[in-house]
Amino acid sequence: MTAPRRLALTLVWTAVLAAGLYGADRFLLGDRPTGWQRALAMEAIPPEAGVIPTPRIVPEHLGWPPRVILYRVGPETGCWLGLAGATDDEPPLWIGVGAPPLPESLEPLAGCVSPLRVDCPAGWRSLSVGSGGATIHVLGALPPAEMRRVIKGLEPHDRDGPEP
Amino acid sequence: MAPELLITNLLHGLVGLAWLAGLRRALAPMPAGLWARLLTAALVLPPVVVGLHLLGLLPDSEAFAVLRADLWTEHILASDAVVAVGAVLLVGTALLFVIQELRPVLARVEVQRHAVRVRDPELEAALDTAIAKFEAAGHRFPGRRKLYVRLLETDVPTAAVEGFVEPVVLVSRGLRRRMDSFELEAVFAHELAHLVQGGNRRFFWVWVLRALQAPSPFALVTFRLLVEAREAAADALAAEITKKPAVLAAALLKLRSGDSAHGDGTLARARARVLRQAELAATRLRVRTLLDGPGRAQAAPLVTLSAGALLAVLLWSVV
Repeated sequence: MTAPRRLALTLVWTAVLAAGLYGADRFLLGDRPTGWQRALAMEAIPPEAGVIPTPRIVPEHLGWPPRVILYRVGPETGCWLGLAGATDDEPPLWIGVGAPPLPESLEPLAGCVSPLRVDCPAGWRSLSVGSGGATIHVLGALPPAEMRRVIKGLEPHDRDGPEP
Repeated sequence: MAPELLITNLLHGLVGLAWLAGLRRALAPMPAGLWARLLTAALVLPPVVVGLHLLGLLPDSEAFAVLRADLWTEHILASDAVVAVGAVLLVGTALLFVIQELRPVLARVEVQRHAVRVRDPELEAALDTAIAKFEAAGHRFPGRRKLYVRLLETDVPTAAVEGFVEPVVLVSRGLRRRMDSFELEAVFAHELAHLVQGGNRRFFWVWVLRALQAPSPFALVTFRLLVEAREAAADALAAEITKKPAVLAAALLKLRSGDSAHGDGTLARARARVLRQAELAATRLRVRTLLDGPGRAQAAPLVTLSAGALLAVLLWSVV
């Protein structure tokens, strides 16, 4: 077999395989979802998600990085971070940006971000701050002083996480 | 991050194997040297591509994604059953790597390190003859200008190239006793062919990248195929240089047919017998490949490079 023939066959087979894999991927997984998606690490949030509401201060009993990281890339961008301590079943503090609809795990707290804040569940508080052209919400079942410290230390464009 | 990297590596390994399987059919009969290099590329490129992605040295391939590794990761991690089965498979594969690849390499190094080495004029003459044939065919050896051979004082029939920078050819007394001068020259030609094809230095880096992918069953399969392909490629080049494939085939068969199943106890003897039968079957296949192969050890470098580049692009599009 000559070298040009080998090259041509290699090219054709690579193209055929790529097309087959592409078809299988789209058939099995469908189009990329445009709603809320879960990221495994802060670094995995794509830049298209917009403002990342990274706090400079978090309560000591809550861990960093966030236990739950949710983002949305389009058509509406958004990002919600759920912070939890080692003994918490669910995050007692959510920090986020993004217009409704909220992620599924935040649906019970939807009332907290509505303009009237009438349906916030018992024990939960809601604060917000405008930053970088976006409204950052802090939803938490924490004492008011801790909530105020969190919102005071929010730096929307700093992705390095809280100060030690 | 770690699960996504692992799943991306698994997808790369799977794509690489599928690509190789189709290519082997499309390009049949494929020269042994080309097959070995393509297997090397399929083993080396997955961690290299991922590393370059992480360092931001590759352009973003999101728009050209053939397989979307992040979505596959999400789907796989969403099912506890799949995660559990996958974890068992990956841990098992990593254990296989330690038991079947890492341990034998260390054991062989230990045998070679402790065996006494002596000079042997007859071996030196046979090596010089083989070197002259390689040089006449235009091949050059890496490392020191003069290659040395040493006789290993052990009855284990073995021949190997040792060393990265200044390789030395080692031949055991057990092997030498069984070979006539023609077969000995064929054995040297085989070892020299390994040197011409990159030697230990290249294989060491391939092995390091293989070790990084220890949990991947696809890397395991690719590496097994590569080990066989390296031997077949060295056989093919040695036969091309000496023009005596039948002598090399005879040497290989003689080497294996002399072994016998030893061991203390019934289980150990049965295990040794099974291993010996597997080795005999592998040797027969190797001899058949040597005698009935495509006749050319190497393909044009352009084909090898282009095929490697195409595989790299294919893996780049799995993100």
